[in-house]
Amino acid sequence: MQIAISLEDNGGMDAKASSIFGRCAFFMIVDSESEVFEIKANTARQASGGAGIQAAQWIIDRGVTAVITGNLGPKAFDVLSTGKIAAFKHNGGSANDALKAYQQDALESLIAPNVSAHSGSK
Amino acid sequence: MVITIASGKGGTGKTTVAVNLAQSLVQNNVRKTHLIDCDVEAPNAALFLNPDIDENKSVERMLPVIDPEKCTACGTCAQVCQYNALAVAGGKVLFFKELCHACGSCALQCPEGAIREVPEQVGLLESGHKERLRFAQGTLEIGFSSPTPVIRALKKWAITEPSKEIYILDASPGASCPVVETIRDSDFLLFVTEPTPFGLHDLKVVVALNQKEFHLPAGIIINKSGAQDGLIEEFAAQVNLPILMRIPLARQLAEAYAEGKLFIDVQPQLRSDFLAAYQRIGDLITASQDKT
Amino acid sequence: MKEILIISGKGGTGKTTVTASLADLAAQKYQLVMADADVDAANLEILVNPTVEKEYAFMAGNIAVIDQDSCTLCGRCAQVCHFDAVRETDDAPYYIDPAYCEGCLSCVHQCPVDAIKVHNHQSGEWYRSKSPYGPLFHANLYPGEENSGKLVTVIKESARAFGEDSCKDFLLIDGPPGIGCPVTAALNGVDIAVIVSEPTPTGFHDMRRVKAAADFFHIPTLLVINKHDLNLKMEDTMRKYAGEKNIPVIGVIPYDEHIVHAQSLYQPITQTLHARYQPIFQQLWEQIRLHIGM
Repeated sequence: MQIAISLEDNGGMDAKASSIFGRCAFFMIVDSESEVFEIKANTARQASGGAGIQAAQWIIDRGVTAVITGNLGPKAFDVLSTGKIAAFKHNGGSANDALKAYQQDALESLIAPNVSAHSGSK
Repeated sequence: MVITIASGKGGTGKTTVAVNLAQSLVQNNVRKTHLIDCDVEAPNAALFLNPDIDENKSVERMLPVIDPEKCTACGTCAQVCQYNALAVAGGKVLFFKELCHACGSCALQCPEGAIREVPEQVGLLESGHKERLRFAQGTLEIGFSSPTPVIRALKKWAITEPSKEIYILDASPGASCPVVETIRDSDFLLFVTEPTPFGLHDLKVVVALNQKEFHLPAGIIINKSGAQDGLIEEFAAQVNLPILMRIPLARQLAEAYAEGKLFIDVQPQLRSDFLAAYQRIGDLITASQDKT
Repeated sequence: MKEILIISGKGGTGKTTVTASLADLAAQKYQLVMADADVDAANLEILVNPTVEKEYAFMAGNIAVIDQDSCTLCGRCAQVCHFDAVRETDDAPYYIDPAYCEGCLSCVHQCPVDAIKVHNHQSGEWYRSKSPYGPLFHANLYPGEENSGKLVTVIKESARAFGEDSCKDFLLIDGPPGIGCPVTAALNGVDIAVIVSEPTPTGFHDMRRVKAAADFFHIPTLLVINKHDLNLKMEDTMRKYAGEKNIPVIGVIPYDEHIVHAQSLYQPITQTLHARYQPIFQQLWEQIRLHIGM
């Protein structure tokens, strides 16, 4: 399964997981079984508005089936859930920590937006 | 003749000047005069004027509606939308109205012709009169971010004889898009400022706007005038802008304002000052036309 | 970190004066970061004496530019533009005015000869500065530019990220006038909005509109009535309205011509007119902290 993880930097598996979704710096796309990954700069970061929507669209277009992030606002959540993408909240730590926790089913599922619009880094 | 009143800073007295100038002209039987309140986010002139409203008109923008029968969820609309108002997920199109700029791009680009545009009200225009003064205003619906289309529609509706009649336009504070839209196609820019560092700072911004975009003849009215007028006078001299009038800083005037009264009723000599300013504005417009 | 926004609806009611004085008092006991969200006419810097540490270009977004050499004068761009941005000038029958172009790129796609290009456009600058009261994030939108909402968002998000990273207690935001895109951008995500109004027909009218905007975003509000003694009857009306709408009135400030003169001293009035205004603003600050739960 392809998983997306929002990141603050592009330091590979040691990169810090970002609590921001729409305007995070990078996304890691990783295969949850083989752990093969790539990291891409988040193009939605520069958006005037709807950054969460744009990031969610980008993720859907890449065939990702689950997202691990921190804060998910209502619009981004809407797009992801309509696309049947599962969303999870990480516990801080690195991309590797987030991936391991996902593999062990130890992550909190996000079944509703957990922040109001534009709460980014709160 | 179209005179736009701008300031950069909020609260310097644009609306006060607009209303008092308009009333001075009307009371002195100058040409047919209109006051147009272009501060559509927070139109205030009517609070001083209490006009009778005879007509109104809604301002609409066109929003996309997707026909699910024709839509193939190809994703083109989401790709062309520059504002992220559209997303395609799970075979469905999601539309986020608050982000839509009503540009029509998605409808134009949809390869299946599945998008049609329907109107949505973004503002309301009203016109009327207070005795012989004609009045019009626009009000932006709360929740819509862009005042520009409402201002554009208001001017188009209300300004019918710009070469025969006098139109005084009250702009919103600032110097960005709504102010640009208000100033567009005017004959003269009347800057209202106050002799404080705030007033000067923000005056410079609108003066720069005029120098960059419009090159209109312009002049300054100093409101809350007093010992520190030098701050403004110095700048005005540097940029060659005449000071057309001063309204003193006076508790009596502040209280009159707080009660919604006209300054020209409380200090009648201001009426002749406004008329003199108007004469000079006419001269400055003519002089600038002679140059070109 | 708690976020406090100062707004008014009407311009000139005293937002910046209030923000600077609150900053002065807050900084005495707390760690503060400030943002000036009035990017069209940024005045907070006049009172808080910032020194710029870092400067950033603000790229608003895209605009469309017609390559006049390739243009075949078909006029399709003017037909499709919903913003009246395609104008005739002395040099060209079809020219896209950047002041009106909203970057939708409809014309770019529709031009039959691909003569329209997309340019990324610098429409202002923003700064991270230091001041005696804490770091200040402020900006300068070039005159005539659009997208002040995005610039407000950029400043707020930078201030927020900086504040969170350096463990600041409060983010104090000097808001813009009106109720449009800059105000909605300023409102988003704050913990509380302090409305600074005045007892005049326009002050009251615009206060109601900005209250409606705050409600739209579910932000709780507090009210300060500035120049309150100009019209005691109107003050009373506003207090009644505030009561009906559950807006706590946290204090009043008198009409005082000394304040107008004191602005030219380039300091908050809690410094320059200390005896009179320190106690008034102390009380306002305590009330704000009470309502925000600090």
